Amino acid sequence: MDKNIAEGLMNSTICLGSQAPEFRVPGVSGSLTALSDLISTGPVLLIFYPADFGWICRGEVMEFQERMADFQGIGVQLVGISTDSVMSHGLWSEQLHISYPLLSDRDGTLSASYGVMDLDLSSFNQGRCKRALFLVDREAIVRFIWITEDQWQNPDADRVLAHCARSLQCSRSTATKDLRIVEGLQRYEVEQFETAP
Amino acid sequence: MDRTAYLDNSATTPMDPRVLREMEPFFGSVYGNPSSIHSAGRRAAEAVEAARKKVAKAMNARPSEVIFTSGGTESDNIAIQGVASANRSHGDHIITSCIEHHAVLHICHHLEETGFKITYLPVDKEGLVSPDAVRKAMTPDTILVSIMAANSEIGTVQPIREIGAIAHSGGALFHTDAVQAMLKMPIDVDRDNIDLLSLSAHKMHGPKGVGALFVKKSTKISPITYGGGQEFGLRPSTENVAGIVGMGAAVEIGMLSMDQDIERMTVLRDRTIEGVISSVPGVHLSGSRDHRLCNNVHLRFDGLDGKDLVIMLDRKGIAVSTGTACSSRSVAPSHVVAALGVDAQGCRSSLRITLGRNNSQDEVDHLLEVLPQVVAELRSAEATLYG
Repeated sequence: MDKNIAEGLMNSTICLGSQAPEFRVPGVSGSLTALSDLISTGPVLLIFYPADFGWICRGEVMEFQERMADFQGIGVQLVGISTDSVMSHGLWSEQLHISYPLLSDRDGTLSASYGVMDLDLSSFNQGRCKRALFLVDREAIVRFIWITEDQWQNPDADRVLAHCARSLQCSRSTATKDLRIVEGLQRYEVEQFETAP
Repeated sequence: MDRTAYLDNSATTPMDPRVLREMEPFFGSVYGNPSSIHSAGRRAAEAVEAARKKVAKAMNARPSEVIFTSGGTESDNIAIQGVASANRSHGDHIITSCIEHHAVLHICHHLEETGFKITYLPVDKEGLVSPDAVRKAMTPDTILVSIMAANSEIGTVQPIREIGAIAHSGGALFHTDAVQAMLKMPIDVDRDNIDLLSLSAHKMHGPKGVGALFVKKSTKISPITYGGGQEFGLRPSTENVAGIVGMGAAVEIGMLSMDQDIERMTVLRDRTIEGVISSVPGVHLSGSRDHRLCNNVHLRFDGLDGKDLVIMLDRKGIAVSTGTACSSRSVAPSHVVAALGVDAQGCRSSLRITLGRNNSQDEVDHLLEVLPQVVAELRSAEATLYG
């Protein structure tokens, strides 16, 4: 296993309320993007997906593109992340008219640091990131998490939007409300798996 | 862009202009439904039957043994599900290989969920299914053996004649997906012990959306869709007359020059393999040297993502792919290359170059000139960007 990935995995116990790991990876232009730069202008939804040009991933990134204005409406920026190259990201975002940034986690270090690198040797997705979402607020605190082991399962952008809105509202309020988000998250994950094809 | 080369002929082939000319009347003046009794219908029916004869002749079958479908995937579905459904009282075991097209594998997965037992045979490092392994896997409950004639990704040609004989000796039917093999190697359903065979027109310079299934006379098989008696009751639906006419024309035209085409593509294939291996470091050939489709070159490049190679080559006017068109848009690395014992990273470093009868030596030489530069550029960029 790559040393960076191994180190990332060791530090990847991210849960609600955790500090989001900082990263610095290239975007489509080739210039480096850091989490700290992104959150300086507002909360960010990190959208980890397995691969550019994938049938299922296509549906996911397009759905978030369609709902981008709504996410902006609650102050959330969208950022896509996969282990594809910047060249691949460039072509794919152009083809699908994706206007939010796609970041290239070529060696998987970033995915590993968030605990979403698929290293299961029996998985067809091995060496790529899992499908996962992390909402990171301006203080770099993780406010919402969604992860699935089923790479055919896309998140429902409408419901993610609702969860993000509630999470950010609650983060400005009390611990009691934080607990409710956790419950909501658990319900959401159960429902997602139940509807898996 | 001065020079271009379409080298992705296993994904699809450019339609032959002669095929298009034969199809054109069926988009306009010849509009009858082949099931109609009147002259407009009869004219359409005659065209369908003429095409059926052409397709049957190309594989030494009877016209009544050919049904037209929407393509290779539907043909595979009817063959496997239809045989499974009609023969369940005789047995519930099917043998296939782990490198079949998803059109076969996904049906088998589905049948497993309904109680069938499926044996997925492994392949050796060249992608070959061992006839002996088929023999050992046979049980009294085996009703069907389905092994592809040639693999769409790595081009390995399977010993189907021997496997068909083994299936028959155990009382099972033999199906082969010949979507990639047809017109790339001689096929004779009688000689090759084939009971069911799947074809797709667009892999043979014909139109998309049409295919065929050979079903040997007296084979016990049920339809998988219902609603009409077309195609001998096996594929209900009003026929895609223009597509069927195109498929007939494509097969007939292809058969006229098949031997010369195979010879020429083999020379170009070997030139490509030798040229790349001698000029690019860290490259590996997948599949077999001896049992290989005449048009297939499948290579893996150390440290690179095949997707990036495809993008870079496309910018230079060269169309190639990372694997099958069907799987290249799924997130999974190729199950075929993985079955050869290649790890996930190696699978993703795959590049498939597939020749067609229209390709010239000049196009191959263009690839041989460009590919080493592209590989060097990508390796250098990877080192700079990702360190």
